[in-house]
Amino acid sequence: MNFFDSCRNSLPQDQHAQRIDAFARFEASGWPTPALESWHYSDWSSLAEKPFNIAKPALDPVFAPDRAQPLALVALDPVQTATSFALDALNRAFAKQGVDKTIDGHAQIPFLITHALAGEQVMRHLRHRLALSAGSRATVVIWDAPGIDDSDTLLTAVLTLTLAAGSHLTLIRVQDADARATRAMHLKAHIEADATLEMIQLDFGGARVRQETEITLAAPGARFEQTGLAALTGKSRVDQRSHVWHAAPRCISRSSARLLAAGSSRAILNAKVQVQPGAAKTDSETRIASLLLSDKAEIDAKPELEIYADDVQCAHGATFGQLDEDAAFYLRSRGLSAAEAQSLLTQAFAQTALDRIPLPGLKNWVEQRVSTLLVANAA
Amino acid sequence: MLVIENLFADIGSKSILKGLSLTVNAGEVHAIMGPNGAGKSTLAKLLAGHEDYLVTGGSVSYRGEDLLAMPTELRARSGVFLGFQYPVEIPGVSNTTLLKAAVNAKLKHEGKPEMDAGGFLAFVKQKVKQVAMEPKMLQRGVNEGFSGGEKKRNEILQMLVLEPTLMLLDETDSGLDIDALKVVADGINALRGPERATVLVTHYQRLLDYVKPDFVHVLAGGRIVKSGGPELALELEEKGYGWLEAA
Ligand SMILES: Nc1ncnc2c1ncn2[C@@H]1O[C@H](COP(=O)(O)OP(=O)(O)O)[C@@H](O)[C@H]1O
Ligand SMILES: [Mg+2]
Repeated sequence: MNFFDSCRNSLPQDQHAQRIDAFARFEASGWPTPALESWHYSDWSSLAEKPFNIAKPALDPVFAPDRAQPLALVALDPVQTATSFALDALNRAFAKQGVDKTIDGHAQIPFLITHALAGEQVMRHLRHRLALSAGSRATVVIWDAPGIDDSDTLLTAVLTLTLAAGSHLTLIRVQDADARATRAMHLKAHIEADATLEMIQLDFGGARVRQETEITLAAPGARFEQTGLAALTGKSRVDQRSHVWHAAPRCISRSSARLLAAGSSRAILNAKVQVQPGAAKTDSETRIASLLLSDKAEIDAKPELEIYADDVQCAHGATFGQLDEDAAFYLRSRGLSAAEAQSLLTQAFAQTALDRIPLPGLKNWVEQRVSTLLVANAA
Repeated sequence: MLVIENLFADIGSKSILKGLSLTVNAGEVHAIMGPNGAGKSTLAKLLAGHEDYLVTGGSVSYRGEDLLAMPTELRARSGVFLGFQYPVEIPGVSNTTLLKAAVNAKLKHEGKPEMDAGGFLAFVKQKVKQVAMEPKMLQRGVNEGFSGGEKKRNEILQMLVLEPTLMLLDETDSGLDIDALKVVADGINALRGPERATVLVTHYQRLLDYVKPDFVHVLAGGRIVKSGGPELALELEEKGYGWLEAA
């Protein structure tokens, strides 16, 4: 039985007509393939042959590194705005729940959204909405947790974010899905005057992962700061696409990503900044650094810049490298094994991203995660 | 301790060492001088195990073992230390991390237990004092943003911590002010002893005023072309190398 036949009859009963309609739209477009303009590198068409069942409700695993306050899932508002996400219709057809939260004031404890799934060939679809009111501050962790049994799962999530004037959100996304998992997440953020979205994106797992980020810097002084780290092994494949629109004057965007690929993994990052007419005094910088740890791994990193305004300051760049051999020799000349040298240098490569993680427990956890991943890779 | 016999080595298609022989016994200090491009750093890095050099002839034994058959890290754990002419900067790997990993690698090789964190820190702090470095530099990346002199002090710090048997110091004295030069010389002298040996690559008599060599050699054209006592260094300082190369 293929995907569409297997789940056609499991559409939730509420808002049934809209769901049938959304499902039909998804079936018509099909799973994304490189034929889609923004899916150059990923082909998910084989998922059409795979049946998935809707996951049964289960307790979320505990996020251990830091104290965090889970955000409750609530029934979805029937009115949903469509996004450019290629899986939007699929998500719309099945999503029954999501976080719907407006944050006021200064939240001291980080909020937590857990994306977890257990069971073989099960799927889950979530649709979240987060808003920060003017002047508020918060940290939100979205944790894509590993399952207990390394199973084949599918999860899609859409997150709509609105940051009102002067608010500040630190959004940390930790993607640590199982080696056979499929994950797709679409984030759409609207940032108002003098508000800041600081985003930290950490990717470690997943067989098929798609991360989309669409940011609109909508009013003067809006700011977006992104730090990314992907440390991939095995057959993991993570395809990230981020698009930042500078739609108003005097906005700032900073994006710094570190991509590490070992085994026969593949990391893809397309980071586009578009400066729209009238967005004078835009200040934007995109840096991508890639490090291949195996000749079977692959990294495709592409920063893009489109400027339709005058008086802007924009920079972008991508560096690509193997480990520094002189540094490796230096470490070995002090008695460290080649594997230890490689592990330390790789950790060092990731460190600039790790240093940006504001939660001490999580930072420590990620450091351990990167180093064990590298040790396993070296062995 | 170190016996180099008729060594030939290439880098790429270029032959650099052309029949070099040198014997260093325990307890001795040898100075190697010679014009730029003579192959001094090549010799030093080759002895430390750098893989860019291809040995095409000759042999090197270290304490009776075939040094050339040992991988770099094993040479280090067995007591060979190279103070680099140009130490690399390694942002993201702290000096402490490196020192700890290096000490533990050596202890493990010797079949001894690792140092506990407290003991290690106290040991390193004392060595840091000896080379007059700021303790907070330990937390920085290896040589990251260090001045030329600080990098050389850091080499000496690593040497003091590792207590090697054979010290190969490649122009550790170049570009140092007098205070830093004294630190370097004191470091070398502190480790000097009947069980250890030192090979100093230098351009200047200055260092040899502080670290008295037993032998001075001239390396030119990939070979040792002349050997003598400390007085040879003075003669070289006066006359340069031209008269030797012509000979
Ligand atoms: N990586 C390299 N590739 C080609 N030639 C090199 C390389 N490294 C050194 N050389 C050459 O080898 C010769 C010896 O260099 P080196 O050992 O550094 O000399 P010294 O330390 O005596 O000044 C020089 O001619 C130098 O240009
Ligand atoms: Mg040299």
